[in-house]
Amino acid sequence: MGCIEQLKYEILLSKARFKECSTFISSNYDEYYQVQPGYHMMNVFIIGVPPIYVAVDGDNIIFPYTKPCHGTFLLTITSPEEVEKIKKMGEPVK
Amino acid sequence: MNDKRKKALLMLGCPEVPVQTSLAIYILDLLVKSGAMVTIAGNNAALGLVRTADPARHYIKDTADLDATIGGLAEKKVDADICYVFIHNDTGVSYLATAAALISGEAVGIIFGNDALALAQQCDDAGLENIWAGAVHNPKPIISKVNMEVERWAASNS
Repeated sequence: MGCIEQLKYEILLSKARFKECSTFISSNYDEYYQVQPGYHMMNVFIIGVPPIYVAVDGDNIIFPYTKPCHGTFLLTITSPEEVEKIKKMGEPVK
Repeated sequence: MNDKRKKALLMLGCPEVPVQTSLAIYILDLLVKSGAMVTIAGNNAALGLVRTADPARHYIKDTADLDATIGGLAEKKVDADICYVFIHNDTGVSYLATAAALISGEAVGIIFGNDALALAQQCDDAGLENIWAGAVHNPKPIISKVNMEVERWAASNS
């Protein structure tokens, strides 16, 4: 998974459809934000069909990560920096 | 001297469906004949297949890594007048939506494979332009639609 592989992450959904990841976030998190395609975080550019949701849970950030041959993964990574950034850059949904 | 030719970007998906590679070279040829400069973006496997199919580089002039291309589009270092995104799975729809959001020109999905109809519906629901046919091994079902699509784009830019 490119640079993501260098990080300590947990996979919440594996080889999922993009919409499943959006639904998972909207159904399971009390705080999440909408970002535009191409939003840069964790040294990757987020791709997907808008609305693209990124959730926050304490210091953890939850986001969809898509690879051509493997579908979309919903990942969670501990990153206070990215949490702070999404709060500034993202559009709050909930 | 600035090159005034239109820029076209072909964004390849995972090359697991056989028609993708030949379709890519076919569309590349149509675009070059229309006067466009064409870049093919894909992962290593997808690019390896198109390069192998055109060893003397009669058609392929420029290739790029898919992730780097998305980054370039997001950072406005890369742009295109037309971007054709090859789609045979849900991931392809995500790439099309992303390309449509990031480029200044048009983004159109070229949908093939066993799930073509459902994926076309998914694109329609998201307001994404596309053409589709259930081509898997034989590209014939989608070729006439590709011809019409590239002709349409070329005519709209002439």
